[in-house]
Amino acid sequence: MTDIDFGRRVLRVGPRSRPLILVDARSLVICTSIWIAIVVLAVYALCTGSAQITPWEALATLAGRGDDYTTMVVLEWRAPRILMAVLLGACLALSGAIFQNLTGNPLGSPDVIGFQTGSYTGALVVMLLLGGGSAATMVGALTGGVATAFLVFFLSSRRGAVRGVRLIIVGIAVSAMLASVNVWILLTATVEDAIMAGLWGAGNLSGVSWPTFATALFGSALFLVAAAALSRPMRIMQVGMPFATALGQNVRLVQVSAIVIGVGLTALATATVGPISFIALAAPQIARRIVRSDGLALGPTAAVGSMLLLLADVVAQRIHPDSPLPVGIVTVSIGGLYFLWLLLREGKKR
Amino acid sequence: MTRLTVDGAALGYADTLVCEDVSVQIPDGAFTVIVGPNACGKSTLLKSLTRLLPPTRGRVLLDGRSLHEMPTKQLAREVGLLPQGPVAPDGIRVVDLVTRGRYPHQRLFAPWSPEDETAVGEAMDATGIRHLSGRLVDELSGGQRQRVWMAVALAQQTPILLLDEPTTYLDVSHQIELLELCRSLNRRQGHTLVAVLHDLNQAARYADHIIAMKDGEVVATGSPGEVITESLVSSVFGVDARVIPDPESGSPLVVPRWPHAV
Repeated sequence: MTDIDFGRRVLRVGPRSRPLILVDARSLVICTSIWIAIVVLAVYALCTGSAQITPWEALATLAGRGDDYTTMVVLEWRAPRILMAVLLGACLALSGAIFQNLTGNPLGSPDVIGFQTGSYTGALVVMLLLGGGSAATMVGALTGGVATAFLVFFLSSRRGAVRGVRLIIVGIAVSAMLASVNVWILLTATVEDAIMAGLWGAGNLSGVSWPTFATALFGSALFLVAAAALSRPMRIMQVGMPFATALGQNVRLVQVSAIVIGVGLTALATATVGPISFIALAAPQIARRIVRSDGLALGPTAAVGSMLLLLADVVAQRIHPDSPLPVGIVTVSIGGLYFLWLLLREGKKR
Repeated sequence: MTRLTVDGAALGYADTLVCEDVSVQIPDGAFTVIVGPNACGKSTLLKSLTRLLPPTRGRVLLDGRSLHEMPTKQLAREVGLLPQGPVAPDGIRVVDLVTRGRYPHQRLFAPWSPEDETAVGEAMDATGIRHLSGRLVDELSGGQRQRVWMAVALAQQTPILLLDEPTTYLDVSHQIELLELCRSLNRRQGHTLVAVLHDLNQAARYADHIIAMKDGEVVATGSPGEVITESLVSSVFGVDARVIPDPESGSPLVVPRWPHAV
């Protein structure tokens, strides 16, 4: 065996003579650190809030030895919400990574190209025009997101090929149109209904229960596994269509699978808790900068996404204890600044 | 012997037909060069030898089987391609890019093997880029970058390698270096090479077999001595030239005539 300089530390997992996989040391250390931070943050989120609970009480409750009140606060209110933030943060981040890889552009993320706006439109139609309940709203949001994705891809594809910049421009345009449709639907509703719908549209993790978490977990599990399996074929796509084809890649199949998985992950997250922007846009870029990877680092991306959404939710709840904000407001505020920076930087590169 | 053949193929893109009816045979173990003026269909013909461009009529065969019916990874273990002007992903290191070439040999859940490591090492040795292994591709010069791409194609370890204008954008010393690399791959390791080249004299020097094209048709095939003649240079390229023996290599050397008084 020859010694190859990887330009970084690479760990070999498996038998010495036949390692199964090479793991980037930096990526491993960073992922582990982020997950430790997530656990610490989760414990903090479990213990603080309107009811203060000590970490020991919280742990005892998790082990099943808490009194009725702490059990309700920790297990019924806070735990599913924290887990939901971690799960959906990862879903949104992976969806962003998939679309940014597909379009070859850091702006090509599902929250920018209109899928979340479309989900909101779907949800509004169900909530305000058809008068459906929360399950129907989820279905509406899912349908709206997927339909918008179809529309954006249809309008931006030429001869069946998806082109990066065109997709982003078409997506931003569709998103703007749907946003005005959303405002129009909201204006037709009664004040109470409009407030409820507006709250949903801000992206909110409050009121997450175990059944919703379980639904989201089962729904996303398939997509998460598929995303992991697709990570290597997608890395091959980065060398361009001709080279990828010559390397035995079925380019069309990989693109279609990536779109289905990316849309699925975003639509699922949005249908569950409403549109939460910025995570999909920023997490993949933050992850690739800290692990110094060449574009697609799904493990670190998922970890960063989970961390960001959990952090945003903790901030949203604690920033003003008497009137907690919807998490989407927090992510939008930070996201706006990041988006501006990204646009300026992209502008400078040209 | 010939493994790769194009048999009565019509080639083109969505609304333009480039070649109406081409048939070529790629001799095994030889360095074949496709020449011709711009827009004559050279790159189209080369692409038709991969899955990139299915013929609208006729067939492209590898060992008697249609390319487009073979499993994609199996084909990618037989025929490799270095496309024109490939773009490297941002922030990728040389070794990681070269490793991409191992894709057709890897299974989904067994992404790394000692064979991969040996192949990547050999590809970097053959192209003389091992010392650049841990560097970022963005930091390299154009000539170094082209050698990295060549290493990606070599890591694929295909007996047949297609090169689409591999010398474009390189200065003359890097052009010669790359052609020498191709020649040594062909002579030492018996690779079958097919390249599209612009420079007729380089083609004549390095090729064993030349395919000359004009307006989507193959007008001549054979050894450089048979193909590169004054009449062909005039009819295909529209250049009035003398063809004399190259004083270094003995291959035909095209010298355009000097229309002015000396």
